[in-house]
Formats: sequence, C-alpha cells, structure tokens
Amino acid sequence: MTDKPKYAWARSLSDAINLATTAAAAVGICLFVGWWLDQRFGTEPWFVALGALLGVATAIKSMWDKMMKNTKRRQGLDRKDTQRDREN
Amino acid sequence: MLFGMWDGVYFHLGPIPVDHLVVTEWAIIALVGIISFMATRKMQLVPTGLQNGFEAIILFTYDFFTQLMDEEHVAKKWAPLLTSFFLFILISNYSGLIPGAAHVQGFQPPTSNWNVTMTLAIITFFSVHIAGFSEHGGHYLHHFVSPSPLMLPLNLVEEVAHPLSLTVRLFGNIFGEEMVLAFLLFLAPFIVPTAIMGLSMLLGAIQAVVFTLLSASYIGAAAGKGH
Repeated sequence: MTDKPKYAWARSLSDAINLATTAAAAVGICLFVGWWLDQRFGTEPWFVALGALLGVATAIKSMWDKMMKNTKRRQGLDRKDTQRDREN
Repeated sequence: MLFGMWDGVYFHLGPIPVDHLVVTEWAIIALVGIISFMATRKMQLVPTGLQNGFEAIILFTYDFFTQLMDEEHVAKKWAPLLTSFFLFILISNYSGLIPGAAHVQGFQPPTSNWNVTMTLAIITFFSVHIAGFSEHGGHYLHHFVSPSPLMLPLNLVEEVAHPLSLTVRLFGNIFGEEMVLAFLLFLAPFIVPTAIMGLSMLLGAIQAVVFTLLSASYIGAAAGKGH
C-alpha cells in the first residue's frame, strides 16, 4: 500500500484552489481582452467568442496537465513502494 | 476615498506618493525585521528562547516546502522568500483586526488594497521564471510550446492567469472581510462584530497559507523535473 506523503493536505489544497482559480482567471482574462478588441475594432461579438473559447480551452488544458502530473507522481510512489517491498 | 477606503497621502518621496498603506507595510516589515534580528543576534550552538523558536520554524518550512516542491535544493533556495510572504501577508491581514481599526487611518490591512496583492503576485510571477531559468537554462522556454507549438497561446494565458488569480483572491477576501466588519461596526459597534472578527482570524491565516502554497506550487512546477 502506498504510504501517504507528508503534508499531502497541502498539495491537495494547493491543487484544488489552483485549478478553480486558474480556470476562472483564464476565462476572465480572455473574455476581457476579447471585449476590448471588439470595442476597439467594432467586431462584436467575434473576439469575445474567440476569447471565451480560448479561456475554456486553457482551463481544460490546465486541469489535464495537473491530472497527468498527479498520475505520474502516484505511479512514482507506487514504484518506490514495490521496490521497497521486494527489498524486504 | 476608493471603495470606502481612505487613500490619503502622508508625504512624497520625490515623485512617489507615500500613503498610509505603504507606512503600514513599512511598520510590518520593521516588526518582522526586529524580531528576526533579536532571534539571530546572539546565535548559540544549543539554541534557547527566540532562536529556538526560529530554528523550529525554519526546519519546518524547509521540510514543508521540500515535500511540496519535490526538490530539496529548490525548496531551500526559495523557502526564505515564501516564508517572508507568509509572515508579511499574515501580519497584514491581522493588522485590520485591532478593534476599531477599520475607522483609523493607517490601520487598514495593506492586503485589502489590490496594488499590494498585485505587487506580491508580480514578485511570484518573476520568481517562477527565475526559478525555471536557473534550473533549466534556455530549455525552460520549451515548456511554452509543450506538448505542441499550437499550445503556445494556452500556455501564455495560463502564465498570466496565475498572478491574476493570486491578486484577486487575496484582495477580494480581505477587502470583503473588511467591508463586512466596517458595516457591522457601524450598525452595532459592540459584541456583534466579535464573531466576524473570530472568523477573520481564521480567514486571514487561510489566505496567507493559500498564497504561500500556490506560490510554492508554481515555483516548484517551473523548477521541477517536468520541464
């Protein structure tokens, strides 16, 4: 069985808050820039729509990256445990 | 007045106006500096008193950040900055909890102003990239086009989203809490705001922990083996 790493709560808290706020900030930034460009060039609503898509895509990519990283870390911990069990 | 906060300027340093928030920040920096100086003034092999407490804090932070950032040398390099963030934000958040402080010029928490939180977030932003370049050199730039050059816009938006989320979260929480306290003090000056002040103690600590954790997580990610 995998030992729970020390301060695992800190990593979980950081991941949870990071995901939620990065997604919100990414969508917010892209929408704002899209709105500003639309105002500047009179192209409403194209840049806002593009911004919304870009923001949502960034949020999904950020979640995917975090998930892959955590999966890799868990696999690394499992491998260490298996190695230790073999040595014992 | 901006959002109900007093924005008076005490004096000017050349062209730069120095307002009450800047003075409060200086006072907080001086407080942390004086306590640190007193703790490290007469260092002994067998620590006692304040030195003992500080050594315990430093050992804890090294261990904590090593677990969070995966790499011990990265954690040891950045722990002083991150611990300073934590102490500064914690004391700033609590500086508004002195009873009646919301009505006294110079006692509003600096973190209830977005200029302060944005400055802290910008320091984190540059620290992340300095950590990335110092660990990976020019190869660090590769992560902007990883896993494909098509991802460049998404990676750039993500890099900008991090400091923005750090800024808005800390500012929003502390500013909101200060406004609730100010309204309650106005409506019922005694006893009623005490419960919110108790909650603010918890909130102030949580926000300081969250800002530090996220900064550590971003620096750890930039300096880690994943890049």
